[in-house]
Amino acid sequence: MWPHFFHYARQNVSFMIGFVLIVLLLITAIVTEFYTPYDPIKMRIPHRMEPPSKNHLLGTDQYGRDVLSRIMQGSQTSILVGVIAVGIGMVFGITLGVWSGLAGGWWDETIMRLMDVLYAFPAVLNAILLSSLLGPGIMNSMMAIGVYNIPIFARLSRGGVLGAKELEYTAAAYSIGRGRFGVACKHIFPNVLSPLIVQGTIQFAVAILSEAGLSYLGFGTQPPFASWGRMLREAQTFMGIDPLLAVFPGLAIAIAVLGFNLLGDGLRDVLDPRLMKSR
Amino acid sequence: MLTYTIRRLISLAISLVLISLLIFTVMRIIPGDPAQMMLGTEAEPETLEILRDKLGLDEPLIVQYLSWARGVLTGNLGDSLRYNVPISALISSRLLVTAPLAGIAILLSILLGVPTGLYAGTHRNQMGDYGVMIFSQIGLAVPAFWFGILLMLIFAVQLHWFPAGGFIPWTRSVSGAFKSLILPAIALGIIRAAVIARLSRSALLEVLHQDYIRTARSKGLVEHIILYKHALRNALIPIITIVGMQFAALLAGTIIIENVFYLPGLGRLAFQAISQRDLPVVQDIVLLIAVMVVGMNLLVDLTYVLLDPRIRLE
Amino acid sequence: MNGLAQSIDRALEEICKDWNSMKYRWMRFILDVPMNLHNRLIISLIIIVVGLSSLATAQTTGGTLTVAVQAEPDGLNLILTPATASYQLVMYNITETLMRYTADRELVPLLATSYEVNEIDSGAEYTFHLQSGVLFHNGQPFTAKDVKYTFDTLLDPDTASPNASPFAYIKEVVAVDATTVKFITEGKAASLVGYLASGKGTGIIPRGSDMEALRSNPIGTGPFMFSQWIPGDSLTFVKNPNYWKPGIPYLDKAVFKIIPDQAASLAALMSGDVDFVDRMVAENAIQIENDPRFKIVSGPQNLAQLLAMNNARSPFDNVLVRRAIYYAIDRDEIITATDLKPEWGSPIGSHMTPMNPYYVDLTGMYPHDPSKARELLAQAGYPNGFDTTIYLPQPYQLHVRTGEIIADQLREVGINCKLEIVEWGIWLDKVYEQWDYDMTVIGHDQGLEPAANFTKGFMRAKEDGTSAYYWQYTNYFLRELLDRGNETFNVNERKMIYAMVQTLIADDAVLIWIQDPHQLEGMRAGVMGYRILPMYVFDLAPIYLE
Repeated sequence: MWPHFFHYARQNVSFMIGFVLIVLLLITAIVTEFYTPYDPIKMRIPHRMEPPSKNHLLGTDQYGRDVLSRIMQGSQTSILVGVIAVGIGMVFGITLGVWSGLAGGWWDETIMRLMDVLYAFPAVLNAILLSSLLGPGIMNSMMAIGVYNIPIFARLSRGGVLGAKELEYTAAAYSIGRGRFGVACKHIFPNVLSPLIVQGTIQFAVAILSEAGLSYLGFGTQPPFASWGRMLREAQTFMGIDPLLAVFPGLAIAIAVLGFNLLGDGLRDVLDPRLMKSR
Repeated sequence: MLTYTIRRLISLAISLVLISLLIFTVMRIIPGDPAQMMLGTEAEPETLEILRDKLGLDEPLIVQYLSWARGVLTGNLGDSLRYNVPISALISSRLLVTAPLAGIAILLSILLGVPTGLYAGTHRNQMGDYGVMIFSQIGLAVPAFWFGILLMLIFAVQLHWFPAGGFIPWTRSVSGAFKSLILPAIALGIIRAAVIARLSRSALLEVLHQDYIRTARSKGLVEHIILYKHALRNALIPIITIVGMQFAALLAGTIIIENVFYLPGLGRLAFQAISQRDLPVVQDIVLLIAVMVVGMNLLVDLTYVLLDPRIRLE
Repeated sequence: MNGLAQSIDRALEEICKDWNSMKYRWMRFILDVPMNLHNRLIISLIIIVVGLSSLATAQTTGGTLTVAVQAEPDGLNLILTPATASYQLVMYNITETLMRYTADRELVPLLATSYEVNEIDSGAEYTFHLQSGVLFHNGQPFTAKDVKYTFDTLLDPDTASPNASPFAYIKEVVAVDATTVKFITEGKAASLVGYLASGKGTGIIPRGSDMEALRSNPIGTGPFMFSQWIPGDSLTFVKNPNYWKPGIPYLDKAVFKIIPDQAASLAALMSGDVDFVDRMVAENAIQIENDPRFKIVSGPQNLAQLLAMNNARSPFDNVLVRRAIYYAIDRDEIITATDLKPEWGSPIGSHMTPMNPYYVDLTGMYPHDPSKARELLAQAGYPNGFDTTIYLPQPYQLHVRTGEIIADQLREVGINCKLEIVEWGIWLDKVYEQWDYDMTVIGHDQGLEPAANFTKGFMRAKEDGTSAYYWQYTNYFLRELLDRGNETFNVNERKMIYAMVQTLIADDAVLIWIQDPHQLEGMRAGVMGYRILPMYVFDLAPIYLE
């Protein structure tokens, strides 16, 4: 399967561009651990709000901190948020969804009702309430975003389970005596896997956007650590004096989200079972 | 059809009850005493007690929940703890901002998104299609609030064409009110348009791949007619669904955009009420939003069932 | 003839005093042209007539001033609410007090004409003589009985006023006759006269008023009457045509628009929607500073910003650690970065700001010296610094930014601060109520009466005598000193006592005092006469529009 995958993946424009962008993001995040042009949290007030120059490629912010270094640090935040939020969503969501799909009946109804409830709250409000409840900080906003992801993966995996249940080979497998769990693992799971992976990439992008929004509103990453959303909030305050501050963090967010979206789209095309069958 | 509707309505009711319980509990758990917030740092403990008693904050939780629920069902949303005015008045005055904002944004997104999506679908893999795909990818990736800030930067701060935030009430100046809403509506609308364009495109493509279209082609019908008579009409159903589903996302978007542009709308009210621990206001708004979202979903589902005879057979 | 010319010139100067200097200059120019006295007299007469008539339109009475304010009042009865947003609008405008502070920080009589103090045993008796011929907005005449009613209601436990505690030493208020009222106090109550000028709830209300009604319809003797309140939107005051001081106010109407967001209020100012923005943030003020259509009036606002430390918690219970932190802070850097212009903040070194006549400049006690800070930390047993948390109140961006800068400065000396920006509700709960914090940055409005600055923070005690204030600092000697300050009327003695108090507190590094960030008032160029008061009050009376 794998060589097939890579062959078609390489031909898919969306996948390739997305892949490159993500790799860039990851490299930036890793590099930041070892090197940034300046210390991203150290203030140098006499140098505040300087325009881009050869000393500071993207200029300095209102406290004299190097914007480029802060954007690099922000990439770490974004990746962390994506991993944890999607992780929470997947772990709890898939469990609930598969359980619901396999068990059916009363369990199914209740769990799906609960998912509807979670789904109905706009994510932002959700996150604001949770952050007020748990206090500010990046861990809490990650959990808030993660909670919002649960119904999405639950629905998806439940759908996959229900679809697979209908297929003939499942009935066949049951008839030769395999247990439910065995059926789940061997037959249903692989079928559900590809849409889940695709959705996972897309939700990663959504998580980054959500975290940016939350940080913009004041929840999420606390100073002095850099988060692209928070940088935008600070930039807006100084918009009249240094408009350039608002450009770069937003650009970073857009590029990261674009990368994951393209990757997700590409994966969807490549992993499409209809296409796979015809190969 | 009828049984389906009734079943869905019951579902809706259960969901709403669950949501109301959830928000009620959450607001009670969050640390922060509304009485303390209203009286400030100088208040003596006895004064706080008196106020808490007056606001009914000391009664058992069940009692508080039930009296709130009863109020909502009879149309009495209660009074804001902070402002001492009926919440229904507060909400309606805020809706005067949020509703037009959402309205203009949805209009923009449909007017921009649907035609471009359909165009891309009909010109698959040509320049137009690629252009639209790029536009929609960018639209999906750009955070709405950043887009709003950039718009503000260019059109308000630099060019002075629009106010840089704030809302001029309808009663003071209709044109002023519009001007205050244009930039935020554009910020919201264009992002949504990108999503709608994408989904419209794939909806159209789905339809174009159907067997009956192939049949029509093999019958020798002009492509033009195929498009308008068969494909578009059938694609409209999923497109309506899509637009309906965008509604929830749009509402979520207004919360942030109202903060970016300092508009005194429903989203901002919710945000402020949470910080001020104005419990009844938060509860009412969350319930209202939930009703709108769930209601809209129901509406979309019902329309879908109405329009697509196949579904009814389920 | 020279004498006549001179008196004409002086008359013209009087007329032109408040004029735009351009107008004055051309007139002087004309008058400097040599001409015979006859012509000179005629020309001067013409100018005087022209001048007087245009004066009638220039220093105008009339017009509406629209002001953007940040917070909405919480009821307009100052006896019932401690909210500064209410105090700011009602005090001196709608209700008046017996005494008042002027923009020049003088304590002068207002509804009183004069007062005397008599010491009686351990207590005192303050006799105030009142203005006559003053009417309330509802037509009721102002007498001593109204003063008695006001204070009786303020101090009545049934009213449960949050503003009563500073006046706890008032035993009785006696209306001797229509224009004389006596305050009988326990102890000397040297702070009474100052508190009467600035305290919340001291505005005189008509006797027999219903407290609840005054919440939404305040009545007083002031230059403005209450007209309308649209919750969430605006308040409107109108001119009091029967105001007892002649000639003022100038404005016909004042509308206070509630616009909490600084960007929105700036936008409103620029579009002409408001004439005035109260308390602009520095980043907005800087944008309109050089715009000829607008102007900025700035000045210290008697707000003291501080870095508070929980003195009951380790390591802040160690004076060496506190002093080390003091050395690590660089006030000038903070002022530059948070106020944007060094002139827009005054550094402070004690529990008072330079606006207070009792202020002693102690900013030099702990100059910025990171190496000294590290030395002290090592002495205290923290050679590698330590970790701590600073709570910052989210609605106050100034304090949040200051906190960020402080964290950076403390990192230099090895103290690693985790910043937690919390909502106001949580700040009040954790820091102010439960004293569950390490450090925080906040500001306190200072009064001009010295006792006001110290009483809450140092005198409030639990039953066992330890501090019942969030600073958690217990010092019995200090309390005795402060009691003494309240017991003496001699200004010089008070000055000495409060100087000692300030020095003692600074030496013990109880808290880190940072700055008095200046109040920046942005207005369009035609708004004249506004002056910043040394209290959180918006003084409408002297304002006029050009």
